[in-house]
Amino acid sequence: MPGISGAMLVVILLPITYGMETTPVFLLLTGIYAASVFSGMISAVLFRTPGTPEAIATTFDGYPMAKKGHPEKALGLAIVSSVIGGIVGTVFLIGLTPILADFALRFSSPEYFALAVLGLTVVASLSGGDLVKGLIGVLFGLFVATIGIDVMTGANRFTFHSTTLMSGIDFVPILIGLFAISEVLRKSREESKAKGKMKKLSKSLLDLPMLRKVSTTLGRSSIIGVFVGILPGVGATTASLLSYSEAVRWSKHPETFGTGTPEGIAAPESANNSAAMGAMVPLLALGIPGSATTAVILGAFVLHGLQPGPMLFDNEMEMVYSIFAGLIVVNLLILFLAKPFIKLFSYTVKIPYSVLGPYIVVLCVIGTFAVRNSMFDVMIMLIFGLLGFGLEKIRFPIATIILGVVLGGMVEEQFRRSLVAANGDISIFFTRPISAVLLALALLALVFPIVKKAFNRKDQKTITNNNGRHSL
Amino acid sequence: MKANISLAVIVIVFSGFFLIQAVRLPMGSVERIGPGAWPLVILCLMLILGVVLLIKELIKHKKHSGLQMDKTAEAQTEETPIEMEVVYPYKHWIVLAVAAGYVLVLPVIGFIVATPLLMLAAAFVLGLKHIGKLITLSLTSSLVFNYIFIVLLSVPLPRGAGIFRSLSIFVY
Repeated sequence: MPGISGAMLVVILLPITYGMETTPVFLLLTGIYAASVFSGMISAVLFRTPGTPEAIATTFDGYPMAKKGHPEKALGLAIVSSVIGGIVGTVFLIGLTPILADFALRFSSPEYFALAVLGLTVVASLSGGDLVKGLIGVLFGLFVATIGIDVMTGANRFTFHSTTLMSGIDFVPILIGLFAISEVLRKSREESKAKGKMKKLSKSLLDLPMLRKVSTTLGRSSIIGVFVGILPGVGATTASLLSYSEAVRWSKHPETFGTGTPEGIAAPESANNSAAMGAMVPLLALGIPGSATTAVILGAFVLHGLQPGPMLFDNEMEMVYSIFAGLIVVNLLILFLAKPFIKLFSYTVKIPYSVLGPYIVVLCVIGTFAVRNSMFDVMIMLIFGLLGFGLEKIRFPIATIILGVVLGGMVEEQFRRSLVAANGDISIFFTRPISAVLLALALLALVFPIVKKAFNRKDQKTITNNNGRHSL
Repeated sequence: MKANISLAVIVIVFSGFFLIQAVRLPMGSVERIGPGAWPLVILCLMLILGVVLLIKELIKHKKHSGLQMDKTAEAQTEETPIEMEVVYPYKHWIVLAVAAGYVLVLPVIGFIVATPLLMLAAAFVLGLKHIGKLITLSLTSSLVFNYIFIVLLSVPLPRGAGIFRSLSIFVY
């Protein structure tokens, strides 16, 4: 549904999970995560409005194909591509996560600190091209995480003698405010009418000869998706755009792209679903989020008293494997339930925002209140809602604030613990090989976009200079 | 562009204010870092980035005014909002006021009474004008919320005070 992203859906469903056992909670949340990536393509194909950012590339060829009079073919292909991508992604997730987690068992404080720093560098991709603003967002989040009683010394930090602030500002009100309330405020300024009309889909959604034609693209894009997804900070949106451009590059008829070619639907749809599963690898194995939605899921783990990372495999093995099995089932269910789901979708699109908005507001209030039974938290949520609304208006990357708040406690605590263990010798972070490599990777992740931008500018200058000379 | 300059100023003032608070906290030693050191580093970096953003925007501003860029073009490139079509530019304040009002009256009149009122007010503000639909929405949604969160999930939602408390105890 346009306007409700996977991250927001996970956020508004959090209150329902409070009273539940942990395994069903994470089956539900990861299932929603997988299904939301898939469902973004429906409105992308039918209305040229990507339901989620991951489905942007699907509009390029999905909408033209639907417009040509083959919406069922476009949807069918997108569904099968999503399922194949999702399953390939989950298989890699099952294979790679335990290996990575096993390796991470050797970690102690310096490595965890380095890992958290690497996690923070996701900012480079969440910043949307404006690294300064992104870094300000992360630092603001890190600062908010310091408010309250210091866990290591018991000192009060920025509490201004308020007993409510002593226990700190909880992560949930910030998350709900920034993602859900800000969206309600933004939508309130628009006309409350449901857009788009659905045509009846009577024909079968599956077209086997077409699938055979795009099988190579499907395989290639799924693999690209997984590996792009695993990289911290490079999410499913990048994966789908990258695999789309790779599909164009490998195609014998690149000129057909953008006019409704099957490869143009298969590539982004398989890649974004496999990348979404790939992004779960660092989340489960190392405890660092690979994207905004996985950052929200990380928050949900913390909320339920669990810390994703290598220890999760020792302590909660049953839950981790239930999640794996659940993801396979979700991906298969997509295949069988897609058609009725699309029918149901045609009704939900018709719900005006004047009905949906109030529901979201009440869910946000309950969701925030229920964590600590605190009205103060609800106020904080509204303040962050207004803040998120204002910041989004000036294109501030709000997900970076979440990143800072989520990783803030870990990065500070592990940094201080490491220095206590090393008697204040700061070289501990660089002499231990794993932490040194992780910090080097973090530096690379932060510097690479800047260098790339500088090179791009240089290239552009050369091109304009050359063009200038030619025109002379 | 103006918005970015304002943002930079807010960041500088914010980090400056909390820096003054942070330096009052114990810093500790390298072996045992005190509670003030980490926030101090964060706020210093924030202050620096605020200044960087300000300088960056001021340079951009100077360049633009130097080129005497057409005002409409500037508005299109810099101030284009993310929204598709803004029809009611101030409505978010009303929605926020309704939500804040709900939060304020919640401890007094309790969840059971406050929620249908919020649903009614919020749906009306967001554009639902049909009285019958408004009443149906507010009542059915309240029933749904009460059933899910109070009966099924036993979330201890605010009961309110006085007569409202008695009413809530009667229900849950």
